[in-house]
Amino acid sequence: MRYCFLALGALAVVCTGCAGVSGTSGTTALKSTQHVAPPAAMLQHPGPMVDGPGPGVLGILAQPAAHSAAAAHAVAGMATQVTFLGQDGMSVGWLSDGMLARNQKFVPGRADFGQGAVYQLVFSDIPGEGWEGVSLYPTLEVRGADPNTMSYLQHNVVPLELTEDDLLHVSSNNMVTKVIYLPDPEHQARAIAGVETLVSTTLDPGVDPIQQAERLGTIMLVLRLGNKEMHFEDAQMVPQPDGSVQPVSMILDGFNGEHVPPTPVGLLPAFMGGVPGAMVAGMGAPGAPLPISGVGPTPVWGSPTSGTPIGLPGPPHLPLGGPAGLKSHTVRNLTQNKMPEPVDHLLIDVQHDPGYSMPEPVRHIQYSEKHPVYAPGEVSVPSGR
Amino acid sequence: MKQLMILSLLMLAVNPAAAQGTGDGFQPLNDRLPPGYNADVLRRIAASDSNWLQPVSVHLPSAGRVSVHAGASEAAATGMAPAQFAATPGFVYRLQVSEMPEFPEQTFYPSVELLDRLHPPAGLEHRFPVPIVFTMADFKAASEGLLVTRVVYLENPRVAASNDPLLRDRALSGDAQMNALAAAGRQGRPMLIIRLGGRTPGSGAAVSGFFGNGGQIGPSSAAGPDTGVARMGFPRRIQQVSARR
Repeated sequence: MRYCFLALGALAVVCTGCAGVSGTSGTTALKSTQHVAPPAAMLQHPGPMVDGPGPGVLGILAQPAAHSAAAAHAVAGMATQVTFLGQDGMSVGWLSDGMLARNQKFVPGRADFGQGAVYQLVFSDIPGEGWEGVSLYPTLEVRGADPNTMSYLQHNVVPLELTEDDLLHVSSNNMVTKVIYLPDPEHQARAIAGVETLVSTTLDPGVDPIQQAERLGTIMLVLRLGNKEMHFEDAQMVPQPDGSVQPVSMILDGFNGEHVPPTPVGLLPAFMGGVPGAMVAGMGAPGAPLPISGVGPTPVWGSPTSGTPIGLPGPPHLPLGGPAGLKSHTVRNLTQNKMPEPVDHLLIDVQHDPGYSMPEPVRHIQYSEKHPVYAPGEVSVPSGR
Repeated sequence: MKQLMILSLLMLAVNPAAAQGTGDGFQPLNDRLPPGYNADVLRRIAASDSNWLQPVSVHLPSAGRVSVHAGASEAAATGMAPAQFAATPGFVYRLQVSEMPEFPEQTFYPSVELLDRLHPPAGLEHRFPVPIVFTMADFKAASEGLLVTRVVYLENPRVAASNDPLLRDRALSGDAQMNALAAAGRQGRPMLIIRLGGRTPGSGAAVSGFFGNGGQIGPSSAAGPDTGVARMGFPRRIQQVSARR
């Protein structure tokens, strides 16, 4: 009996201990009555690298090919609208096709930037002492629209504010990184969606504002600002039709009516080639062709950069630059999912209250007739009948 | 036997939630999904008449011009508020609201994601539009950089019978994590989602689907005076619609 209680006690310690460990390791302990819906990105796609309708949508009803193509087209052509705030009168320019376009917008003004790219900006005519004739050359990283930010980016302009503190840090040889992100619902202070900004100079030393913002929500813009002088004004040697090479100034000025859209100086990794796009899963709509690897728009499987089962690029062959020596790599998914078994027999109990109440049906019918018998002359018949 | 009883009690103590009831069911649709996704899914499931044009009326705080775009930068219909048009359910449309006396210099571009349709008596379709009611608080929040999301639903007749028609501005939402579409579904049948922000079309807007993702726009005569409209005072609250005589 003593050992029996000892075993029960050990069982209790194991059960409660597991809960404690999971709580301390960061895993959220859920009650059995609580359910967790996948994030919006997963609702759109069954899984990483697999396109099509997400859970809860029947594949035969949806048309993943058409939907995903439309979505991809929308994302590819989508731009983030940015409004520049903070230093009224400051001019904003950018690099466009290798040419520096100055004075394109003035604070407060707004401009559209294609998503998934990095842009070279130029801030001029900065108000305040010590900034006369000085230009700043920040870079603006415009993240692609995420399912969490799609609604906001399609309906709102993202504010990018340059404060006095930012300029003070730049003048003190500090680099300022501003991250504008859309907080996740659990981190939103109010019900209406609005953006938040993290600035590197206001965080504790060693805290990366980008990582911090990614924990709190979805990043839309990253502005990196320093005091490095760029020499875009220097004339470049351009070959002429006659074979000679002449110095040509590559400066455009909005004051002269020269307005050009910004062009990227770099693409974000997610928008680069190399990693194949998501594959369409399922049979598709009735009549639609099946996606076949390597046929039509369907990319070829087996790209060596997508070596992991969760869609991440495979590990590099260390040491870098040496011969390929990696023999195996293992990715273990330690997520504690609670996925129920499929239902094989469904029982539905229905009940009306009150139920039907009808009288008992007729079980026996007895029918009898009595026929009188009259003698001749006992029944008089009216005349004429 | 005694050990078995102790074990049962122990398991109940470890997992006290096991004795509680079941929680909310899984809701695959959410108002935070990208615009057009909910309508697209519902359109495929409902498989309703694709030629049906659902009348929609737009109400502004005072006055203004309302244009509706159906995927193109050119407006498909224009009128002064309260304006009324008819559109195919299952698509996203973009409105253009301008010339408001409260915001004379600003033009707003809210989107309308038409989820479902009404079933009015034949021949009286235009007397039962789905009303879209914008308030001053909505436009003020949008001009401050916030995204206002409203879900308009047709109330469940059983709920409508028990509610006071004069107290329609019930606060049905409160926190940011709430699925407004699911909450509206518990109260009735979601008809459309309105999203209002401060963004303007900009360059390449037509390519990126800014003006909507297709769908047809048709004319619709103005609603009669007996169409009920509930005006809400707070953004991102479920707007209740009474489209009855």
